[in-house]
Amino acid sequence: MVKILMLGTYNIKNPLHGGQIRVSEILKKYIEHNINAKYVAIYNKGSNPLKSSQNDIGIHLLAHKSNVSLGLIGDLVTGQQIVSDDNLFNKLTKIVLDEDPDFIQLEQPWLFPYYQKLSIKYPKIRLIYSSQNIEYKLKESILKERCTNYSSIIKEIKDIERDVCKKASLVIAVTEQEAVQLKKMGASKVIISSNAYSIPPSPSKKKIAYWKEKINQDNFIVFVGSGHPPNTKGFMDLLGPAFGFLAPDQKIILCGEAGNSIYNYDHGIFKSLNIGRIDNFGIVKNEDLTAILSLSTIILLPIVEAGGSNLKTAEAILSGKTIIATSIAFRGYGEFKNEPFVIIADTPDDFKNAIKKCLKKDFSPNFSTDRSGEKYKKLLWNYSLKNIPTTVLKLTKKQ
Amino acid sequence: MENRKIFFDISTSYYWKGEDVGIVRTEKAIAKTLLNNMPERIVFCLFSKERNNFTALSRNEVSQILTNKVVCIDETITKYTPLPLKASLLNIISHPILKNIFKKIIPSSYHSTCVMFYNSFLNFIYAIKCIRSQNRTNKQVRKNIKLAREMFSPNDVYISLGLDWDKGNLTEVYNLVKDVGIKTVLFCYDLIPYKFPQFTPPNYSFKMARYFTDMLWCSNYIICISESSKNDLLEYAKTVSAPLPSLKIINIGCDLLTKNIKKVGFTGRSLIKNKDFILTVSTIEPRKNHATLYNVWQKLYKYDSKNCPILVITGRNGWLCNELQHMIREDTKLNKHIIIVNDANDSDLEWLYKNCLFTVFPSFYEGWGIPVAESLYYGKYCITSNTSSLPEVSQNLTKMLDPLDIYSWYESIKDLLENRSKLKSLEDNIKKNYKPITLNIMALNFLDFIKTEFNIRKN
Repeated sequence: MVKILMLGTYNIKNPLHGGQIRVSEILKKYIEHNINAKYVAIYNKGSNPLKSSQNDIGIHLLAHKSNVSLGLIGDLVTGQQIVSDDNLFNKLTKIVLDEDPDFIQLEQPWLFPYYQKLSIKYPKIRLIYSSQNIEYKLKESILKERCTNYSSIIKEIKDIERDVCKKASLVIAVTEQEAVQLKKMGASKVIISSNAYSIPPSPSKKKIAYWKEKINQDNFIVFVGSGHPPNTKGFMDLLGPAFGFLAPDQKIILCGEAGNSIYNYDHGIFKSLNIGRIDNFGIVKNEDLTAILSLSTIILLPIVEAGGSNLKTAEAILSGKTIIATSIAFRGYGEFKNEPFVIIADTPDDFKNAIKKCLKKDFSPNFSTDRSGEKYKKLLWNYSLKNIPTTVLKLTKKQ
Repeated sequence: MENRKIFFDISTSYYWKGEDVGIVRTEKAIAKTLLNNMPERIVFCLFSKERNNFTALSRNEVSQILTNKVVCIDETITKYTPLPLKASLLNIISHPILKNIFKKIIPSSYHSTCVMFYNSFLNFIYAIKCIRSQNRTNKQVRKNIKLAREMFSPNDVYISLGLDWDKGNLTEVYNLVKDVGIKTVLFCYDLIPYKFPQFTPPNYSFKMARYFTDMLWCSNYIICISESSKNDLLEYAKTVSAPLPSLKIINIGCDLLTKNIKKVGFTGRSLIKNKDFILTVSTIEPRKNHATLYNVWQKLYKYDSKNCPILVITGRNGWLCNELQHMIREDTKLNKHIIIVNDANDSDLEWLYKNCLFTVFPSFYEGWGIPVAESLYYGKYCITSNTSSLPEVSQNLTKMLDPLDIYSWYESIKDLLENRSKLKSLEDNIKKNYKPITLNIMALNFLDFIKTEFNIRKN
């Protein structure tokens, strides 16, 4: 039986953000294919005290030499700390040796320094690199807005990304464009497994009734996002600085950690106006989120940066609702960009005008809400991840 | 639309305590004019924050509000309104003779403490009075309060030109626009809290930004009091991506209401009687830029200490005014040349305007600039800032200077002091050319606007 030990920098106990969901879906897929796969998180205790499994290693991160906030580069620092701290290195290595995997699969490149050090003594363990973004580009877009001394950090990340590509027996990309870039960075074998969605069970009538009463709007907009800084940035870049395009009785419903970030954002003079035009529910349970999405009429995807593809886009497409999104949000889902339920808006004015138009009394969406067609199946994890285990199994046979 | 009703929200005048200020005078003047010219159409209403709805008023109640008599409309609305006892006690203490006695017998450092204790005493009496009169008050609750939705019909007009940001009426107004289809006319005095949040108390600008946006969403028409305010509102609407209603300009009127006030009794009158003085009128707050005048007076004193003129700063204390007043009061050279008058009533103001040499108004930003209009109304030359609406109110009859250019202010004031014949000819020019906008003219302009826009040919 093939053994894979997956390593990442966040736990997946209650998968909420895209990365967590993707990892847990890959893990499920491996297990479905009789691959003995386990996931171990080496995570920052400071930002997330929850442990997802016995093997997870929570660490207190030390400041990076650049002094850039750990909230922005905690993942990079985790990878560095695990090799510089012998205790941590040995702790993780003990887990690895106990598992005795054929492959180590790195979720994102951050723990590559660990693999590099490990492979000196244990060269037989092969590497799978599961990429979610072109990380150095994404990090650059995040850091350039928030600090000045970031160029050396970007170089570090670029080096790690290049090395992991060169070393990996298999690289998993999320979009075709990124597959091309990963090959350029030295990857020899790249497969594409786009981000997707699993249709959750329908929420109970009680839940629906609860949220209907709580939201108390017939025609409302939802934005769901994790605490990943680009989510807040995209929202504020496209909808800010003032939410005066919404009428006094219209509110955008915010869910997820991004809701909290937007609520606590420095809105300046528009603080009272903006807070009055949003209803933030923060992190909600999956059933609640499903209920809110089912009641909504419009889903926003105001994504202006980030690499990879956005699994919220798959969720939105499958929801049967009107989507107002940027072109970037449809990266990886290009074939759905021209669907009648999608409004692409790439500038703040276009985005706000699209929202205004959709909130008008006389707006009647003219499209089918049925998403059972063949083309929509690609948007389900079941389909999008199916080539990962088969490719891995082929790799082991070749060996 | 022959049956169209005109709802006039008179809440600000009703809730207002103390001397009428510009907005209250504007509301009352327009209310009177509409009442006289379209008595059958006009319905006066009050907004209750507690109940979040409107109540129609009887003519008798309206006339009491317009004449500053205390009225009881209902228990929720009158909750914070002085009952006759408190009102009469307030009147006693406000009497100029008593005020002067009070100021003479109690050291100035204890004034604020005494006022605080006195107010607490009044509130105590008021509370007892309220409890005793609870049953009687309940009986006064009007039986025929109608809910807003029932009062308004589609195409009725709702007018509000008061302190809507405090009233909290706009959510309900928006609902009426959306659900009933009423038409609305709201007022925009200025966008200062948005443009210059540093000149407003903490958190005030947040509240105002929301108010301005809601106003844009609620209105069919917004009356701006100057071209400058209109331009600011246009810019604001664009920034917040709010819809833009039809914008009209009606300049506000400025005549003082001195008919009912006979006594001239402000503090410090004896210091300036029979002396030349220069007047500045405005609330004392950073935006009005009294600091420039203080700096100019330091230069004037340095230039000729014996002939340094007197500056009379007249106005209520606003926010952040203590430091400047402290500096002036503790300035041993200038404290006899700069006199601060916080308690002037309209008769006092009229006396000050009539007896000053000229006026100065170095404000950083205004929505209109009533003190400039008042100065010109009394035939007095004014040196004013060249910002915002001040060129409009000035009608090219004032000297306009950069509010930060202390040297120019110094030179211009010195020039007028040394050249009285020039000052006389400037005053003659004002008398000849100034076209005052009185409260009555403003109200008639508003009446014309309502008649034209809502196609009302006859009452």
